[in-house]
Amino acid sequence: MQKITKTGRIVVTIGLLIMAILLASVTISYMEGGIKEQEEGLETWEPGGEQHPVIVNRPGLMPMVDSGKKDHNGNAVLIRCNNCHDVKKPNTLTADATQLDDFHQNMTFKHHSLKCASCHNPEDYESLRLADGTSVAFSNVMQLCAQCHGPQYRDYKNGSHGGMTGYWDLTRGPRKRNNCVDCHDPHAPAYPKLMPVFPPKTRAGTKGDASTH
Amino acid sequence: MSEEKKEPCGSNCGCHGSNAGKEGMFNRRNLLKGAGATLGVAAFAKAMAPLTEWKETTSVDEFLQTHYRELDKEQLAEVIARLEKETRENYDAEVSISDIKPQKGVKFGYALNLSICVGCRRCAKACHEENNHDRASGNSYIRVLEMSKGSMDMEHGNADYNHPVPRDDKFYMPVQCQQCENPPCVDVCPVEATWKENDGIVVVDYNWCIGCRYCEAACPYHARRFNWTKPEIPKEEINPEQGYLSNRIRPQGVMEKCTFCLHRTRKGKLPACLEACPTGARVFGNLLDPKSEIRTVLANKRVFVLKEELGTKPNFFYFFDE
Repeated sequence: MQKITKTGRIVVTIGLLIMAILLASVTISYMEGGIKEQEEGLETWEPGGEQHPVIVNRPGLMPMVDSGKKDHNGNAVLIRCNNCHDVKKPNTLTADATQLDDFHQNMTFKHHSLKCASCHNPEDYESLRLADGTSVAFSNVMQLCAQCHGPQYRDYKNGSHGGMTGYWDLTRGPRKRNNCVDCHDPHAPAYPKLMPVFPPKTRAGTKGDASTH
Repeated sequence: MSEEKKEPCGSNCGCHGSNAGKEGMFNRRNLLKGAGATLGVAAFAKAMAPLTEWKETTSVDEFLQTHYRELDKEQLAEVIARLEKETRENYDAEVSISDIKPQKGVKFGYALNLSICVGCRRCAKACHEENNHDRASGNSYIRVLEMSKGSMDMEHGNADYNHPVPRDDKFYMPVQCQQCENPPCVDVCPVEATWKENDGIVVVDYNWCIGCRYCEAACPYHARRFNWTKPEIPKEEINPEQGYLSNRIRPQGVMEKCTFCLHRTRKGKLPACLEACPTGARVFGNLLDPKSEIRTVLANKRVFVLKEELGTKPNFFYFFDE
């Protein structure tokens, strides 16, 4: 008799435990049901498919030089290179603007030990010249820069050098990119020092009032 | 001696129960009860004070609004219509608030090239304008730190520099929300007003946030901001393209944070800070796309994350060129 009661107690206890667990799980699932499964916006993103173009900003086909004079409307008078260079004999040894007798004299030149003819084509001043002698249009200037600046060109192609705007997702829109000479003056290519914009006004993480520095 | 022994009242006070009742209502017990009740009522009144000092800026609908993730489509549409109406009333500006959901197959990642960042702070400015920050405080989700070369400790960075940049002995490190895999800010929120979305963006429901600022304290990157005042923005400067979880004008007294411009990036666009970067130091993209620019950076550059030892697992990476 005693034995049966003991077994009965154990059975009842286990039964109660199971019921408690069931009740708890039902309650939890009900509470979690309050927050709905996050719905996805569009269909699953997939690579490939139709891609919008990456438009690289190119310098104009026809390079022009500012003569320093203004026309009647106040616009700068621009001159084609061949206006002068067609009749002038090129001096491939010229390394600096100060060595010139006329024109281009005020130009800063700070590009390592390059000479004018390192990049400019002395046979046709309206184009550029690669190290192997191939003529390159001004609009393809990046090909010229890449001869020496390989790592930068590689990074540019990989999207980790040079400013851009537009879409990260080319399946949904195009992207616009700068080219080398948009940011680097080819005659003095070091990125210029500039004043930072938008000084912080709050003190968080800073040493005090920005205006006192 | 025939007097009956009286029963004590039970509180060991030495009184005799039946006598106590005869002393009327001004006995010690009733006074204590009265004092307790008064205190209780006063405490209750104090607790209810926010309701009695009901501000006109809080509408009934706003007060009764449920959590973003519990809203169904119609409710959300109503909420958005109300928010657009309130923006019209408070700021005199026509805005459209969208709610773009995360996309399957997309997980956002950001990388920043410290070798070419010049510290010009254009990203911080673009963030300020894109995300409808309060103009007076000059708030931005990005803080650009001027760091001494040789040190990687962001706690020693200075955000208050004001001289031509870059200085030769310094490098510049913009810090914003790192969209951690394991975000401490989400863990500490007592009301679940902030959470991590499926595309990796940690967001805030500005209408559910109670402004306790626990998340601000928990974030090791100092990436969260608090709206101390009602944001003031001239009508013509308000960015009308807004997202419910991102750049809509926040109410006073709530937390806010960088969302990788999800109102832009979930449409496939680049974030505003990247577009503003003049040097291309910023790389943004889909971590799940093996051909993406961000994956190329992760595969080929020497990449590190801030405060790796904390185990937050950021989705924001920094790298130097060789």
